[in-house]
Order: sequence, then structure tokens, then C-alpha cells
Amino acid sequence: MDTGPPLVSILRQGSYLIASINTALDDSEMVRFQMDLVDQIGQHRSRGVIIDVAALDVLDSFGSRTVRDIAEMARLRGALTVIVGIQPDVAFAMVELGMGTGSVQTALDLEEGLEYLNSRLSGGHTTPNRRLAPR
Amino acid sequence: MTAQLTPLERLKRSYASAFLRYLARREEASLHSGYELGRAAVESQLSVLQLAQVHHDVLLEVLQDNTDYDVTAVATAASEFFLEVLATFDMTQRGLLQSLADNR
Repeated sequence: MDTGPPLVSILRQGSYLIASINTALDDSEMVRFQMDLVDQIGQHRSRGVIIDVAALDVLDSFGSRTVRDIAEMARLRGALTVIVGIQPDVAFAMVELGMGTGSVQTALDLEEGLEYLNSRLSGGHTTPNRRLAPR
Repeated sequence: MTAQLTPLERLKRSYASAFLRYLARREEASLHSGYELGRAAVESQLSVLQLAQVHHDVLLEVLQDNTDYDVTAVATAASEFFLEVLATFDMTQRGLLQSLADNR
């Protein structure tokens, strides 16, 4: 039976973690996501974290605070965080409600987020060809 | 400096992020970005072999980095995504074959 995509997924890309929030999470799910992600930063010795919120139509105050907390915890664990994919309506609502991402870096989408991490953490990400044997 | 990237380098850069997005969400919008990548590859006159190489490299990297992921799910997603990327090549080839047949 196809159960569809998970609520969140955490994929690795080189020394980066890409965490996608695929649907609106309730507060306890958000906390679990936070714990999983911070755990995996240490487990995989990740240097960069991308949190992709493109699938979210709403980011409430608890959600945005949790994302900020994740970024701060990641920083304390030695990883740089970028939030990507904030939808126009979400950005609008966040500004209207006086919410924000604080000092956490944001980027338009996953591609821009990876580019940002690559520029900040030289050697953190490797190209798709990295494991090909030299000719 | 993105302006200095060749079409192949641009494709490599975009392919990984587009595929990872599809793998995470399996939604139509992410699949559509695969179609757009294929279209851009045709416009840039990249070959289907170059595209296949990029796909293989990205898939290999994802499989190596995410050993706890279900291989069947990754392979299935990769196949769906690659078919979408190849759609424009397929249409182009069919169009070419049709025009060759019409000219006979």
C-alpha cells in the first residue's frame, strides 16, 4: 500500500543534511523533527543543514521558533543552517505577524541553499562526479 | 559566479537538488522540475548520454549517502524522475522520425 511521502524526510548530500518538511506538523511532531535532525548532525558529522519548507502553506509562531531553535542548535553542533522554500504567502504572513527567521540564513530554493553552503563551507559538498575514478 | 557555468555544469548542479526534492516529497511540482531540466538540456544541445551520466552520478551519490533509505524506493523515484527528464528528448526524437518519414 502506498502511504505517500513521510511527514518529514532527512536526506544526506555529502556532508550536508537536507531536511524537508512535507506537511504541516503539529507541535509534538515539530519537536521530534528537531530532535531527529540535531541527532543526525552529530551522527553524520554534518557541516551544513538545509531545512526545506516549500511544502508548507502555513508556518505558525511555534514552527518558526522551532526552525530558529534548530538553526541555533545546529550552529552549536558545528553546522551551518539555511532555510529554503518559504512560499510567498508564508513570507507575507510572517512579516505581517512580526515573525521571522532571525539571523538564520534563507535562500529561495534547495539549489540556492546548496550553493550558499558550498560558498560558505568550501569542500563541504562534493560534485556528483566525486567518486568517479580518475581517467 | 553562475554565468560562467557551462550547460553541463548547470545541469549537474540543478539535477541533484531537483532529484532530492522529488525523493523527499514525490509531488508533481518536483517531477515537473525534472521535465524542465530535460527541456533545458535539449535547448542547450546536451546529449542524452550526458544526461544519463549525470543521472547515474547523482543516483549513485544519493544511494551512497543515504544507506538507511529503502533502495527500492530510491530506485523507483529515480526511474520516475529520469523518465520525466527524458520526455523532451523522446518528443524531439519522435518529431524528427516523423518528419523524416514525411519527407520520404
